[in-house]
Amino acid sequence: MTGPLATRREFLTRGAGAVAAAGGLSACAYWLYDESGKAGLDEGGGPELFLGELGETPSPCPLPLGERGVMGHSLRNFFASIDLPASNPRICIATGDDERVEQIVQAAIVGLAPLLGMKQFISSGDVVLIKPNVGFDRPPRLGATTHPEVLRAVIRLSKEAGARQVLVADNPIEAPEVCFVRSGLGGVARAEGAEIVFPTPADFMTLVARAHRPDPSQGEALRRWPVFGTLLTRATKVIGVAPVKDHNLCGGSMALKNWYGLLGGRRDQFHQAIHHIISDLAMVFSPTLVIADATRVMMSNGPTGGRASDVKPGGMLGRAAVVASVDPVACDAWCYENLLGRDPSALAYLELANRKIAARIAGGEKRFAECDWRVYARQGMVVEVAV
Amino acid sequence: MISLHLRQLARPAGHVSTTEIVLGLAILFITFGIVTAFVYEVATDRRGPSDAAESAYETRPEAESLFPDPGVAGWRAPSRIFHYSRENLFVKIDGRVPVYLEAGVVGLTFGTYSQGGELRRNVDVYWYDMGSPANAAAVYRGEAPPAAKQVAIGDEGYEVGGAVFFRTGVNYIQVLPGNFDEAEGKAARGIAERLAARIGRGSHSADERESGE
Repeated sequence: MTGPLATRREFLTRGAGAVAAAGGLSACAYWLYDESGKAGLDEGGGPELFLGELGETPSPCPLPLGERGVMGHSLRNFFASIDLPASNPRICIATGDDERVEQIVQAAIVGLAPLLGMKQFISSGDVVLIKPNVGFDRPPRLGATTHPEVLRAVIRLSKEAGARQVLVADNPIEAPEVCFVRSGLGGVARAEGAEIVFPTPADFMTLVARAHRPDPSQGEALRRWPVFGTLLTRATKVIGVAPVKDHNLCGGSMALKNWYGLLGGRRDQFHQAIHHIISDLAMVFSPTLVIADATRVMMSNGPTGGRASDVKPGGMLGRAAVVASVDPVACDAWCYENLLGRDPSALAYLELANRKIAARIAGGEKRFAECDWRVYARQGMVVEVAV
Repeated sequence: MISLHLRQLARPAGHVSTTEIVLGLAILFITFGIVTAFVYEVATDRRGPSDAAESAYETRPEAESLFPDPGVAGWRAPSRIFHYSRENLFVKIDGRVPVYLEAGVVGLTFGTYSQGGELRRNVDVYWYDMGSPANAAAVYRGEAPPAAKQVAIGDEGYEVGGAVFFRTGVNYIQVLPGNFDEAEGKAARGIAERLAARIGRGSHSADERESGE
């Protein structure tokens, strides 16, 4: 270096200025930093949907004010009003020819509630939300989405049981309209007089799943996150209708993973904690009924598949099957073992979901959770019906 | 010592030219602007998944040349092409993404061939640029069913249930019929053959073709 040196004062002044500028930028970045990793979706700008804390019975919605002083709703327990006799089966598996899907679905539901059938779950005047998996713009044959005939049967049974309105909704990552058309689900829903609810920004509410910061060591993932919430405030009953699929991230996509489709935002961020998020969703959503569609089971290359050879009717059963259950955890455990042919004790989200739901049951919530389906089997609560 | 060394890099204020000051301030201003814009964009991103999907959509005049004419009467090449990078590939294949990311995927180009414009009869093309022939082979073989019917398309290919899967160079291509009927199966085979031929004649990847390299 040549030329005169800066004075000590100049050097220190400039150095201090540089440090101050860097500090200012860092402070700005810290202020804007999104610690929950939800791509900055506004936490307080819209209505909120609360999951009641343990020991606190969720109030009927809507609540006048939420945690942050904005309009809020309490997330319903959609199973709470179901008066299921204690001795009734928790899981019913119906199998049959794949040309008789509607009869198979009906048999599965009647198997759960022999006296009343769907009327055990749906009452006159109910607004029923049916949540199929419409996640991909793939044809029904590939098994990436719910079979349209299964959806048709559930819509019909709901209406026959007295439903005032049937809503069909999902929030696919791809263009929803295209997914509903290509999957065949949109056509069926319209033909059966159900209302397809396509997600719009106004439909998203901030789900408040827990008050504290999620603790990954406890398998927690959700705190506040946008969900397709207006549906959940409109519906009085919720039925999940999910295809049974291999899933390269979490092992299997069945009844519990189906709720992932109600999340908004950059939900791909949860791929890193897939078991945590699925079990959190299991804790959050207490459906009236779940139906696992195993008319064709994607045995490999899930969740997208793409080959006819990836799909097998009924999976390990070898013929079209539909599983109806009032316990989504047990339902998934049964399907994972008997349809996908895998060991449910290795499916981490089942145990996590079981633990989280058990805590809520201990807090007074009415619902079922058993990650070992054999517990039900020993009590005669797993029934199989051939159509 | 360090302080003295740093001081040697600095000059007194009187020895810094106006041009240097202006340039320095401009660089600082631009840097601050870029950082602020980036942070603001992330902080105000309200897009839902569907918006993210729409953001992948682009119409390009090169569409016709990227996807060849199917060569089957009544069928036409995609008019809309979707491009996905490593960052937004989840929009198209969601939970399947990690398999491709780990294999080194560069991007996906997607288009749908249709018959007479009818959405109900169509053939989807998933055109993955895997970055290298080895990556393409790894994913291709990892997904291939054990007893698939081999076809002479690209470097390696098979047909299953009317769908055609092949790899050629850095590309792994899936040609999937919508309804798996005979007409779609025939169209899928024709499309796959023409795609393989076109890729063989031209550059190795969709991205290269797009950029005209």
